[in-house]
Amino acid sequence: MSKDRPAILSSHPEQIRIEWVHGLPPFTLEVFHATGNDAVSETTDLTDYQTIKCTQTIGQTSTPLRYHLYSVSLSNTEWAPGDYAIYLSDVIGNVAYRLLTKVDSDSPDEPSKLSALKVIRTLLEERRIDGLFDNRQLLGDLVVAPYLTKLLMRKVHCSSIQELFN
Amino acid sequence: MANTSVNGWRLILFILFSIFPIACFSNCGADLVVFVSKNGKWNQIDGDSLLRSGDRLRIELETTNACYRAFFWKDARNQVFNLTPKSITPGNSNKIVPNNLYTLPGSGQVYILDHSTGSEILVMAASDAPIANLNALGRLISRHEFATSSGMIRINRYDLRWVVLRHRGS
Repeated sequence: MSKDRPAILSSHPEQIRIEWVHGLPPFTLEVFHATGNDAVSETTDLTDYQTIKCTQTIGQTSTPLRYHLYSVSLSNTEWAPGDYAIYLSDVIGNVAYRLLTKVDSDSPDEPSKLSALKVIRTLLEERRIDGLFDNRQLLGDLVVAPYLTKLLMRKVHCSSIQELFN
Repeated sequence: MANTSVNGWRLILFILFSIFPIACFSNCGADLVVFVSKNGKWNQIDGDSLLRSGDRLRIELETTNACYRAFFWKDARNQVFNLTPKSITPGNSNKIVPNNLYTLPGSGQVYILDHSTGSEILVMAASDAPIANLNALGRLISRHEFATSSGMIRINRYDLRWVVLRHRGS
């Protein structure tokens, strides 16, 4: 998800997947309608993660790095189109904040996983992040995803982590 | 007779709270002082001070009482970071000694402002009881609107003292 612009959710998955690195578990995820004070969703005690391996290259030196990739799936079937504020907090009070806009798409055709993969690959090559969140939703749980999907998403995650430090 | 005594105490308390409103908070006094480096010299700055990307900052917390404390930075992107120095949290107890000076980030290091412009809000939370739920405190700070350039407010059982720095780009 972009740090500065709202992520767009225009596809219609019943579950949205949010992934992150860093922070100390257990985590709490809260979602608020941008204009309200009542949480539309609250998930506590988040601890599940996968380990991803990235490579940091500085000059001619490559260093292997491992990260814990935490994730959570949320049902959004009750969410009306509009802006939502997402607060992800860790056990010592660090809080990440992102905006998410849910769009009521007119398109009756759900994009396929294959087209989502193509879009993600293009975005990765062009070093763009707009559309990444939306298309990532269509790929579902990476634990049961095909090898090539896992490989591509590992590149996306490593690229995103690298972006954090630039 | 008893009524007169109670009314007398109420009057004294009313006068005390009128003259010393800070007494309504806990006894967790501390100064939050921010310094910015300009041309190699450190200058103290106030709330609403204008800062630029790349500015180098350090912060001093001077305590007057022994209390439990935590220090947070809410940045221009609304992200909250717990920056409580380890020297304040020995053995996960946030109680610090009075009349002591804590420098952040410490060890001769500095904070360097990134390229995100907006309000950088420094928040010191204090309580006379141990701060057991830092997660809830961080979430409270992330959703709270700090409307003035500096101030103090009591929310739940926390005294929050804050300073807002205006980050106006490079």
